[in-house]
Amino acid sequence: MKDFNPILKTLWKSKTGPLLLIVQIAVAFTILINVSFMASSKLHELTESSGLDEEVLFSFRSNLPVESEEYVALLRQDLADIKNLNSVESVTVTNSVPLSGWGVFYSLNASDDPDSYIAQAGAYVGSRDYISTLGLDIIMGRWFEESEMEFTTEGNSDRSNSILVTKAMAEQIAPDDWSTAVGKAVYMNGRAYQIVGIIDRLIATWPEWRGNERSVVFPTYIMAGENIFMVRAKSGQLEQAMVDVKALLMQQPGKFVTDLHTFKYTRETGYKAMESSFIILAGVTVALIMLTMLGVFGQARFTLMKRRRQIGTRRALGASKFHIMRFYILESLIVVGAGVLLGSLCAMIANVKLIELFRQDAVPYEYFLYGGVGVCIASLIAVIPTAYNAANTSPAIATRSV
Amino acid sequence: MGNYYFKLAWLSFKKTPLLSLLMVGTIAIGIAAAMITITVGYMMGKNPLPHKSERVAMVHLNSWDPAEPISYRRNGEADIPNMLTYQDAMALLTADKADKHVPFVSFSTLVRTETQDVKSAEMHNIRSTSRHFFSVFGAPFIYGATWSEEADELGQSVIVLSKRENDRLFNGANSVGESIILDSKLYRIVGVIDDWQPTPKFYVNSFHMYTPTLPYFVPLESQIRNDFFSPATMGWYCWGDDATSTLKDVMSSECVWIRFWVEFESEAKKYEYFQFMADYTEEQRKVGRFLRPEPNRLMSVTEFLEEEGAITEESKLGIVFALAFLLACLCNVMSLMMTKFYGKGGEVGLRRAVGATKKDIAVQFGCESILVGLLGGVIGLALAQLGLSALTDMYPEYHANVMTMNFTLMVSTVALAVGTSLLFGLWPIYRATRIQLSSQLKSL
Repeated sequence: MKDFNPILKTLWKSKTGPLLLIVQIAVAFTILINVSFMASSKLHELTESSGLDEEVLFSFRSNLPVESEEYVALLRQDLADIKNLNSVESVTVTNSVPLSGWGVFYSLNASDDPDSYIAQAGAYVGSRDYISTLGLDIIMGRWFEESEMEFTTEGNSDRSNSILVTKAMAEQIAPDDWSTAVGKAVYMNGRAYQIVGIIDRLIATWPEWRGNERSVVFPTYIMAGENIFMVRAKSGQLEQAMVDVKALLMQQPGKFVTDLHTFKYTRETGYKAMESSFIILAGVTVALIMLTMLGVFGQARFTLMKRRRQIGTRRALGASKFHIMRFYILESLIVVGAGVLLGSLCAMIANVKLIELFRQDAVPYEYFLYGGVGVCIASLIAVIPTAYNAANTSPAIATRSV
Repeated sequence: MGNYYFKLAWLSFKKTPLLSLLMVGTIAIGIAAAMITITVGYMMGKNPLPHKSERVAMVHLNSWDPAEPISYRRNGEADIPNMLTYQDAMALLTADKADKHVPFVSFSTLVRTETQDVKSAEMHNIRSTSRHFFSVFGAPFIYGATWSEEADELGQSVIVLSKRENDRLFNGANSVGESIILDSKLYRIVGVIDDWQPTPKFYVNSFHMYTPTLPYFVPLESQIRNDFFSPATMGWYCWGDDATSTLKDVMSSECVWIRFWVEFESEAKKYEYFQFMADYTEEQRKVGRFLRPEPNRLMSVTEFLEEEGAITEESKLGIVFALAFLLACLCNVMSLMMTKFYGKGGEVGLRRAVGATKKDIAVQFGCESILVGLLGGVIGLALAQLGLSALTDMYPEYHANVMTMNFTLMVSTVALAVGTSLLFGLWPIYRATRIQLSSQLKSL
């Protein structure tokens, strides 16, 4: 470490270059930390499970080409007919398809006072086979009883008040122990509901919504002339089932079947924007590291150019190639280290601002650690060729004109 | 003289091609990143109706559930619905206090021409609105015109097509007077509008602001008369225990589903209208509606865009990051310039010795910075275009308009590159002019 003092002195003697590099690394590091954190949280959301058996599901929208008095009967008939198809395992009608971007949400309150607000949750309604069709797990409590579930075209107030919630929602309702949420009452639009069961995972319909792990399932399906269906195909017969269902329903005059998509398609479309953001963020991360390497490389070349004679003299006076390389590498590391330290400080300040302005989450400290180590390694790679070059400076040539 | 310096700059550029290309490349990448994000932000934040954005306003009435607000705004305050119930929309239309009223909703149905069979009908979203939609929001007609007042009142089956649909169904011919079939109802074409995509599409909520405009337009009253109802695709919110299974149910319920815009001849009338809204609400309170405390809103185009957040937070964040990235790139370029000018110490010494002043040296290197900036700017512009077209593919829910540079932005791209490169060249230039003559000449 006896090089340390001379290095600091050399750096102090021509400050501009190293200072520029420090500023550059600090700025790059500030962005790097925040962007890589955003990229990894996006990746986390992208790879998160929806709770559904995605491989065997598809959905579509269809109408009931009859008068409203006959809606319920025809819908039941349609469901029965679809279920009877050879390629279909089970079918449910629902108010909205998870991750499709269109649906209903409710604010959940602990009492009928709106100030007792707990959180918002996506709302789903399904028919009897909802759980088995989507492949959901009820981890506590029970599914609705036959008497609670209802198809209706009428507005009435004596509906069943049983609901199921997802585990993430239960954790908000009973923060100490989510399993105690079963049996508890929550309020929506001033009306009381009782939680009868907890579903492990059921993602809400908005892919980009941060709270999309929170969902509520209701037993009363309010009918209209248009309905959304979700169908579970028998394993390996997804394509066939889609063809069969459409052919079956299109036999009715005046019927349409539209937005017929596999669930995989719905998921990909829903996450497309987020996936693009992830690609951009990851690209920016790589670009920033390359830029830092470029800066370190440029700075090293510059000092090499300026110090040819100094190096030659040192070599002539007996410094080994190793000494010269060590000097060079240490010098770069000191500058890079200073940049990383300044950058960490800026990154923390920037992160606080981002939390305020854009409601980002706080960056965990591992990012600073790994980010710092990563930048140092990248800089090492960038400086070693130049350092090697410097060490190979022939003392005779470098000092010739003195 | 300038010519000579640019020639020198070009020679110097060729002399150290690697260093020069690194400088140009770094500026180009920084500029491209900055301009891509700025373009998206600029296009998102544009005023879509510059000549009358303060005279066109959206009506928000607080008809919501007394038990709890419809939702909360970003600042935690209770929000009010941004759509109206059918009965309120009709009451405002009947009162006729604004100069033009544009209520609108949408529905989806099967569309075909008279000659096509049922099987080849396509599912489309239809905008159902009033005859003023086109003049208030600025949609230009290529054939025909909007429908009559009578059509609005009686709910006649008349329809306006987009150019794209007119091209698809009628090969672009003047189709006014022809008919098309919505589901099983015959609609007579009264007009065709040109390609039209306001950016942002300010009259809907932020979720749809960058999606393409709908291809068909019909009178709202005709939707009701023909009973078109798409509960699974339209935007609507309900509270209470009213039935909502049919269009008739929804029309008589407290559900909000109609967006309502108005245009005034003068801004003064806007304030009168706000007073009228307050009077109307007061009237309704007497019959037990409008029991929530939050006030109604009459939001101009700019106010509504601000409230909805037309510029997404991601794009604001992107601009900040991209500008910081540009700063890092420029620091890099600055240190490369130092290297470069330092390497030319000998040349500077020689020129100074034969009579060049410090100013001459500064001009010479200034020209070199400008050349680097210019090349960086042009390449950056090309990179930005590539980046923007990649973004168009990556974000299909954003209309390509958002990802398009106009002429001003293109010029600013190059100007920004030249300006910043000159700015960050100042210090290296200053250093270069201060090189000691004697020390340089000695070693030549």
